[in-house]
Amino acid sequence: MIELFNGALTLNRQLMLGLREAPDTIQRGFLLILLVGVLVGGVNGISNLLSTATPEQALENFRRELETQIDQLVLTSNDPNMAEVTRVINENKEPFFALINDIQLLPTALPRPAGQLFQLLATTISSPLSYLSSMLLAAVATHIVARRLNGQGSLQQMIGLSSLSVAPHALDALAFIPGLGGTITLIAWAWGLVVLIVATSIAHRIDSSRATMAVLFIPLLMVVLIGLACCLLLVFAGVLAGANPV
Amino acid sequence: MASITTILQLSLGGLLLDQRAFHAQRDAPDGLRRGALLVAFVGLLVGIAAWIGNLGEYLTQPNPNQLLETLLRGVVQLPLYQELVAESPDLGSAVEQSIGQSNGLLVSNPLQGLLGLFFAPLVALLVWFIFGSIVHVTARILGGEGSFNQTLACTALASGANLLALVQLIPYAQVAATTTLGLIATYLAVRESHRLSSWRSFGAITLGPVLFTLLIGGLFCCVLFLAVNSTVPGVVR
Repeated sequence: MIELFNGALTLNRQLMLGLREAPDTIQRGFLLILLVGVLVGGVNGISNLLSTATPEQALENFRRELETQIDQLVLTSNDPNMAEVTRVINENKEPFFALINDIQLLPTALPRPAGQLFQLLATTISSPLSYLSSMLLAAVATHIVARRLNGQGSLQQMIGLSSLSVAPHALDALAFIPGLGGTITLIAWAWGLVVLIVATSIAHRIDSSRATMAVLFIPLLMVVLIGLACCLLLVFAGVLAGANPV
Repeated sequence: MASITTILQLSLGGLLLDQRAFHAQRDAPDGLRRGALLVAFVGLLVGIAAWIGNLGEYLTQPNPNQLLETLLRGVVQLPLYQELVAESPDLGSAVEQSIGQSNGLLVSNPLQGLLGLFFAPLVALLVWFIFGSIVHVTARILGGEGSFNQTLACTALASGANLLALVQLIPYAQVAATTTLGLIATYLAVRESHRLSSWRSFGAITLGPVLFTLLIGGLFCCVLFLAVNSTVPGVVR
């Protein structure tokens, strides 16, 4: 499994060719996703556990996140009523945090550490499924376009090889580092994209340019369609506003 | 009668999209019976896992009544609430009523999970039968050669994807990928049981359910329209 993981990260073509012809290609691919998902989920779960170890810490984290969001809202908004909104928020903030604290301190049948342990396990076990879900959507979308571009691979081969694109997401385990989380996630995503392009090229026996087109076609189409839908909505809203002037 | 081992092997075959499992189901004389057992078995397992997880969540959450009392007490103390109630006094009773009614939403109830335990296999069987039937009709229209038994026997393997939902055994765990993986398994099932091309198989699993949903939605809208017309006086002239 470690060999498969390293091979995916280093874009090892021999390893990918072997995986394409292996009868258990999907099983090995899913095991790789399980490995990466459990690693990332486990680290994130422990990070969450440490930051919410006591009710006071949990409340402090919640307070910090909410205040950051409020600051961003105040800075980015052009609404003339923002001063009134800020006044209401400031007046209600402390009673609201007191309410959250009271709810946290309510007794439960099992002690608080049991709930925290469940949360840790849930984060650990849910991460592989989240990665699997994203990978399946990407693999199916890519497979449909690749077949139109004369690709020869089967759906099973495509899914098995696409699983390798999850390997760089092991970097997501470092996303808890303050200030670096976004950059690390972006690097993992870009690296995963490159692995997916190479995997598509090998699974379907097509050149890299076609594989790139197969991978990017549906996401780009979606972006264009969403853009067009937004434009139409704006035009429609403009027409409505013109028809009913205030 | 298929053994538990065979059922487990078939469900794993469905989960891992193993072509041999689909072939075996297509050619087995008792494929339909094995398929029904597989769907019910996986449904039961998922139901048990969900109930255990639900119980864990219940044990780590506060008493629902205490939670609602605390929530109401906290909301009443908010300056915003006091300002709004001063402006429109009816709002106070409306908020109290809506918080009082949200009992089941705030804390999971293990009794509901226990009911799900009994209904999960039945619902799984019903969904499999309805979805399998629709897919069979569409596949035949698109030139498929498989029998009804073969379609249902193969589409039953798609419930292997629901094995992923066993993670619900752990409280607060989030299930994902079961629908996508189930649809991929159904696509393979149609391709194998009807010996259809990739595009026709894709059409069979998308066209039929989409048309069926539109038909049901249309009928629902018609019924709703007629019901509204008959109850609101003066609408129908």
